[in-house]
Order: sequence, then structure tokens, then C-alpha cells
Amino acid sequence: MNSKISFQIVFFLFFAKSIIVSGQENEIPNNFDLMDLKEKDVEQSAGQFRAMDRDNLTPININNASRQELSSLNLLSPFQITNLINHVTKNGPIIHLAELQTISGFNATTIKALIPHVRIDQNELINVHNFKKQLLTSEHLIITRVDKILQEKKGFINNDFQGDRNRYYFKYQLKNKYIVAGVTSEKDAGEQLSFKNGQKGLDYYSAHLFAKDLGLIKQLAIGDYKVEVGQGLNMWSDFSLGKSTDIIQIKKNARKLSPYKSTNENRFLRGVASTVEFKSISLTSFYSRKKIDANIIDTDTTDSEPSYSSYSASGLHRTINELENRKTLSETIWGSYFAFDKRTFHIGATYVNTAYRGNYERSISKYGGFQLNTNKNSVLGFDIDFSYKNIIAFGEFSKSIDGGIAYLASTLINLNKQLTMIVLYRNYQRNYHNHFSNSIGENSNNINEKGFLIGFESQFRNKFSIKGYYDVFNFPWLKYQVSAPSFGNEIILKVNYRFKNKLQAQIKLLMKNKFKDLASENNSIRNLSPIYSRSIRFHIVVPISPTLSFKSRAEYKLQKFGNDTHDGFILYEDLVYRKLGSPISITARYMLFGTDNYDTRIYTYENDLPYSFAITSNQYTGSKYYLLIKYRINRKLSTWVKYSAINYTDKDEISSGLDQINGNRKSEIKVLVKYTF
Amino acid sequence: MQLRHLIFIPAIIFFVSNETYSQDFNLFQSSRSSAIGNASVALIDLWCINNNQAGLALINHKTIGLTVNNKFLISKLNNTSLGIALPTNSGTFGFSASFFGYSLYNENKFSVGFGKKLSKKISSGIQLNYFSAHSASENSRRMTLVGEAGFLFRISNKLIIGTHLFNPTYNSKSNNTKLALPTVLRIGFNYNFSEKVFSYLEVEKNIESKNRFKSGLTYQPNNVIRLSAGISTNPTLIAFGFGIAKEHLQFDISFMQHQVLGTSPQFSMQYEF
Repeated sequence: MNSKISFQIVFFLFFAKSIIVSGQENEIPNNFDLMDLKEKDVEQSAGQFRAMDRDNLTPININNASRQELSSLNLLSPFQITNLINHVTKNGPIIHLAELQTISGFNATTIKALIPHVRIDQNELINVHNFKKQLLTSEHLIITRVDKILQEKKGFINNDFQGDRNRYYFKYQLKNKYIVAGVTSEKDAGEQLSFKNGQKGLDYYSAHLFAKDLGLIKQLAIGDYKVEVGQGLNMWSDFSLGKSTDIIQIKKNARKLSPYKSTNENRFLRGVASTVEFKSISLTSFYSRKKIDANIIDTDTTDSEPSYSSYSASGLHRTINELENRKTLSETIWGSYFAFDKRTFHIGATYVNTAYRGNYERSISKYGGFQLNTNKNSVLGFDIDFSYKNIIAFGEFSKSIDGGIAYLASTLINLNKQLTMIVLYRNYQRNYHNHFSNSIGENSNNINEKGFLIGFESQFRNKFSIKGYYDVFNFPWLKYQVSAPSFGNEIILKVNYRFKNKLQAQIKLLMKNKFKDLASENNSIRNLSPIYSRSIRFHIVVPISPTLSFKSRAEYKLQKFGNDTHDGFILYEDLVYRKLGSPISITARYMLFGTDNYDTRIYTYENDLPYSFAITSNQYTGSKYYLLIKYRINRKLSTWVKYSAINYTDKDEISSGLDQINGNRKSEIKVLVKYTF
Repeated sequence: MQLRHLIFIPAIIFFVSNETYSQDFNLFQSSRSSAIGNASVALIDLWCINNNQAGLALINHKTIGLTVNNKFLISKLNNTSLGIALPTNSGTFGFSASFFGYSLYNENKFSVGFGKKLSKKISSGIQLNYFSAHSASENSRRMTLVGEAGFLFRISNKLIIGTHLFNPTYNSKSNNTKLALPTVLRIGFNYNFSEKVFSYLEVEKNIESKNRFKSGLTYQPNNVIRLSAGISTNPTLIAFGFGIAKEHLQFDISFMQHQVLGTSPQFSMQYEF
């Protein structure tokens, strides 16, 4: 199977699991609308989420926060960030948060949303070099977690799964101003606790030691880390958001290096990396070597180099087959990034080399005809970013040494206080190869796509906002299940209204047109047919009292393909109880869903345990509920319990293959304990 | 490349086949209008003549203009329009002549329009058009007389709503001598965010095809330059434009991008006496 399909399929399977991310405790930045995530993002988010993966668990210091830190809050537009930095440079540190009102582009809504996440700390400016003191004031964090699905999957009944039914997760982290260090480990349900074949107890371990601001050495990573540069075209090992309704936040602010703390078992770098900075010039170098999972097709031991057909991304090692593929392929990644930064101008150059020790023998397909065929790849590229008055322009270019090119260019214009526009053009050639490309696009990989996007965001008096985009894209070559060059377009529009009594109402519309193969009886010639998707969503947040609020949502989706029209809907009611000073907080949901088939499934975000979030796809007919309770035992120790259950009315078995559950009910319990000191 | 062209040829034939093509109401509009995705029912300039004649009432000076529009960089698909607006005491008259095509296939349009202010806030306009289409292969010359009318409502200093109806007397069949044109109803508005930012939105219902949604934006960083961008659905179009207005002269160029068929460039100029 081709690596691209297997990649996608694996991520679909991944829904069965909740998605673990490292980062902030259950708090999603206010205007960061996870519910906006599109299917592609959901597929890609399996590993971790940048928005929640902020280094700072504590509020950031607004007076010396970098552009990257500010943008990682997902609360400020690029213009607001520029204005804030200019304000601090020009007028000195901000003394009181009320001062924010005087900065252009900051309104009451923004400031309200910002306050919990920022602080003003002038002492820090004085103590900046007290390294010893910082070490002593480190924050420590220990997390343990157990999950269990109460119904037995087929893989357990048949004894195909080698391990027990619990999922275990453990994490330790130390953090101070200069250092982040920690260990993350995990065992998925069905994976065994074993000390054989190189496994040491649990299935997955990750450790990181990350230091920053050590004189000339701006960043130093030892162990597991992430690399992100430019706009994500040349190198972005982290998962990243694609298009979303918050379209003017589309510009990425790369952190260069950052520690890796998540549980995606394949997509990260393991080795050493550093960023050396001298005045406006910085040089980031990284080297990584580790073993990843791959589907080995030739296990001939006489040949020192195995043959593999695809990279496996699920990180699941439950069956003998999965265990055979575990850490079979040696991967080496190295490269460097050279950057020149002025306040309003940035330029960077990237080189990345990726090599696998083995013979890549992927299955031949027409649509994959231009994809990478070898076990080696290298890319060379540059990125530019500058701002002038009310305009921000950015772009990135990348060339794969033995393949094609890819580039994107975009301009953001702040037309007036109420209106911001963006235009973005992208062109990713069909023979462009890059394992770590993660930039904006309609396809899940940055290949075989040309597209043009116009987006806007408009805000009227803190009350009413409207945003959306229109994206037009062409695919010059075939795609999976699309047996001819094709094209499509997408419109998204979201209107948000905030009433006087804090009631919030939201309407979101989506229209998308693409092409797909019509199923044909003989396999010879496939015809394309347009696939039209329409969806409408109403979402209301009703605060009953300061401690209790309701959230209601109705979403309807219609899909027309060939002669068939299918639809789906969901309806849910959320209750959130959170009282200041009370040790208990409760989140609960009751949801009904009904869809004609899998294609009309509707995604919903649900609250989950800290350091994770879950996006579930809802298909077929049934009901679902969950109850999440947090209990704070004392200042240092807290615990969370979540119970969730789905009942289908039209199914006697859930899932398929080894994941199949007999019966129409699936329920799960999760427990987490967090200790900080 | 060969394969791709093969796919496009039927699409081009379909798109420019005389039946379909003459029905594209937006063919005769100016490049300032094209640049905002033709969301121009409430746009006021000389080319109200081919757009919404109610706008004629708001033209206070004698104006003459020319616009040349090419479709998909195919040399035989050119449209040229000449227009004149003559304000009088009772209202403004508009005259225009348009030519599209080449010797084997061509279309002409001659129009006389009149726009008048009904009150401070309401203006209206009407127009009579003579259309003719000549096809050498069918050895035919088909023609028709078509009327159209529109209104503009100034709701506030920032908001103008426009509506326009083309060819209310719909006649569905063409024959060898009679040219049939569809009825087109448009409604839209022009909202000024500020003195620099103008937004346009329009919905077009053509009786013979799908609803079109159009939207555009013009940004005028100063009094001379204007930059525009627009979109339009069914078919999917993206447009850009650049314009200069200096004293009596206005000059605009625009590019409209069709997803499959490619680029359509256009330029317009007008001179105000």
C-alpha cells in the first residue's frame, strides 16, 4: 500500500483512540475554535496540537514575550502582535494591563480573552541572569493516566492482541525559565508490558532536555524535539493547522526548536539540535537518528538492509504483525536553518536531508506516479516575511533536490479597524517530495495542488463578527480515488454574535465542491463525478449563572454525489459547572446523531482529560453521553475521571477487524492524576 | 499537457457556444466591475450603461469611455464596448455600442438608456437594447429587442442597495431569426467600511442557470490608486484589478481567472468632461 493512503487510513483508525496532546490543561484559548477543525486537520492532529502545546503552562510575560510566544496563544492577529511589540519597544514595558487599550487593534474582547494568559512581571527583567535561582524554582509535574474500554474488542477475545486492555500513560516534567526536561511514556490498549525484543516495560518512551537563552546558544535540544521553520513548507515536524475559519491566523510563527512531549511514536526528531544567535543572525542545526515503524516486506536476514513498502504512523503494536513492524526502519534526519531577522523583516534558508536505511518498494499506482520512490530525500528552500504599515507579506519556496518545487505567497492587509483581508497563492508540484512538509493546502500532503485563497475577518463593536474564506484549488494530477486531474472550491462563512447578557450565538456555513471517482462495475475506466457538500451549524452558549453554562449545537450536513443524496445531523447539549474556589468541576454532554453513511459523518470536539483532547467522528444513528469530573484534592494534587458511552440504534457490532465490538454499546472510562510541586 | 488540453476543449466549446455565451450578462461590464467579481449592481460609474441604469442618474458630467475585454487569452473572443453618458436637466441619457467575436461568429449590442433621480435617496433607470448575433456556419443573423430596468437605494452614507432586472419578457426559444435571452435578476449592495475600503455583494439569478453569488472589495490607499479583488460562483471565478483615477481620467485593468479556462484580461478607460 502506498505510504500516503496508509497514512490517511491509519489516522482514521486513530479515532478509536483519544488524541493525546501535551500542553495546557483543558483550556483551549477562547477564540481558538477547535470545532472549526476540518477533516484534514483532524486526521493530522492525531499526534499533538500546536495551539495547546504551549511551553508556558504559566501565563507569559507580555513585556518580553517573543512573536512566537504571543502567536502561540492563538488570541492575537499578526497585526495586533506587531502593534504590541512596537508599543513596548517605543514606550517601554507595559505597567498595567489597562494600558493594552491604548494599543491599536486591541478591543475589549481581545483584552478580556488575553488577561488569563498573560502577566506583567518587571522583576523578571531584573533577575534575568540569576540562573541558580531559576533552577531552584523549577516547577515539577507528574501525570499518570489509565484508560479502559469496557467492552471487549475482537482482538482480545481471539487473543490476537498480545497485551492487556488498559492504556497507561505517564509523564514527568521539570520546567523553569531556562530548562524544560521530562519523560513521556505510554502503552496503548492491547500492547504488552514486556522486557523482550528491546522493549523496556511500556511500549513507548520519550525523553527531552531543552534549554534556552544560554548566551549565544539560544536553544539547545537533547533527546526528543521538534523542528519548525518558515511557513512549514520546508520543515515542520510538528502537526499544524491547515485552513480554518480563523483564516487571518494562517501565518505560522515558527519556533525553530522545541521539546517533544507527545505520544506520536514516529513523527519527531531524536538527537541533538541547537540554535546559535548573534545579533540579527541565527543558525539552527539539527541531527536526528531513530528507528521508526515501517511495513517490512522482505525479512531476508542475509540482506542487511530490509525492504519496506510504507511508513506506519499509528504507533500501535498490539498484534504479532504490528510488533514485527515495530521500530524496523532506521531514519536519519539532519539539516540546518539560517535566518536573518530584523524587526519587520525576516529571511531564512533551509536545508534538510532525510534518509532511511532500507529499500523503499512501494506499490505502484497511477495517482502516486510522481511520488518519491527512493529512501533518500533532501530539500532546499527559503522563506521571507516582512511587514510594512498595514501590510504583512510572507512566502516560502522549497525545492526537493531530485524532484519538483513548491511555493506559497501570501499577503495580509489590515484595511481598517473593522476589516482584515488575506490572499494566498500556493503551488505544490506533483513531483515535489518532502516528508516533513506541513503547510496550508487542501490535500493532506503538500503535493499536486495549486490553489488560491481569499479570506477576510470583520469585527463590529465587539459584538458582531463575520469571517470566512473562498478557496479555489486545482489538482494537476490524479489523486487517491480521483482518476483524472480535477479541481474544486470551498466557501466557509462564520457569523458570531455576542448578546448583552453574555449569550453567544454562532452560525457557520460551509460549501465544498470536489470530484471523486464514481464506483464502476468493471474496473477499467473510472468516471469522475462532482461531490457537493453543504453544511450548516448553529451553536449557542448560554451562561445561566457565573458557575453554570449550557452549550447547544445543531449541525446538518448534506452531500450529493452522482445520483445519491445523503445527509447527517447531530444535536447536543453541554453542561459546564465550574465554581471559583470549589474543588469540583463538572462537564457533561448528551448528544444525538444520525447520518446516512460514513461520508456524511460529522466531527465534534469533546472535553477530555488534561493534556489531551478528543475529536470524534459521529456516524450512523445513536446517542452518546459523557461525564467529566475534576476533583482538586489539594493545591498540588488533582484528579480527573471521565466516563463516556455510545449506543447505536442501527448496529449490532461496532468497528471492524480486530477493533470490532459485539453489541451496540461502547463505553470507556479514563482516570488521570496530576501532581505538581 | 496534451491530455489537459483535450479535457479543456469541450469545456471551451461548451462555454463559448453561441447559445450559452450570449447569455452571460456580465460580458459587457467594465474592468472595474470585473475586478470585484462583477458584484457591481450598486457600483456607480459610466458603465452603469451596461450594468444598472439607475446609476446613470448619479452621473453629473458628460462622460465617454471604452472597455476591451478578452476571454481566456483567445484572440477571437474579444468584446469592445463604447459608452457615452449625457446628463440633462431631466435626467441622464446613456448610449452604448458593443461588439463581440470575429467574422465567423459575432454579436452586437446597441443600447439607449435613461436614469433619473426619483428622490434624494432613490434613483431609477431603464434601457432598451438591440442585440444581434451572426453565425457564419449556421448562415444566420438572429436579433432581438430587450428591455431592462434598475433601482438604487441610498440607505445611508455608507450603504447603497441596488437591484436590476434584465429582459423581463422572457422568450425561451431561439430560432433562425430570433435571438432568445434569459431573464436576469440581480440584487446587491455596496458598503463603505471607510473612505478607503468599499465592499460589494451581489446575488444574481439567471432564469436559465444556477444562482451566482458574487463579492468584491476595493481598497483605495489614496485618491489616485484603487486595488480590487473579487470572487464569483457558478462558474468559480477569481478577479483582481488595478485602477488609476486622476482628474478627468480613469483607467482600470483587471484579470479574471476561470478555474479551468484560464485568464480573461480587460481594460477600461473613461474621460469626464
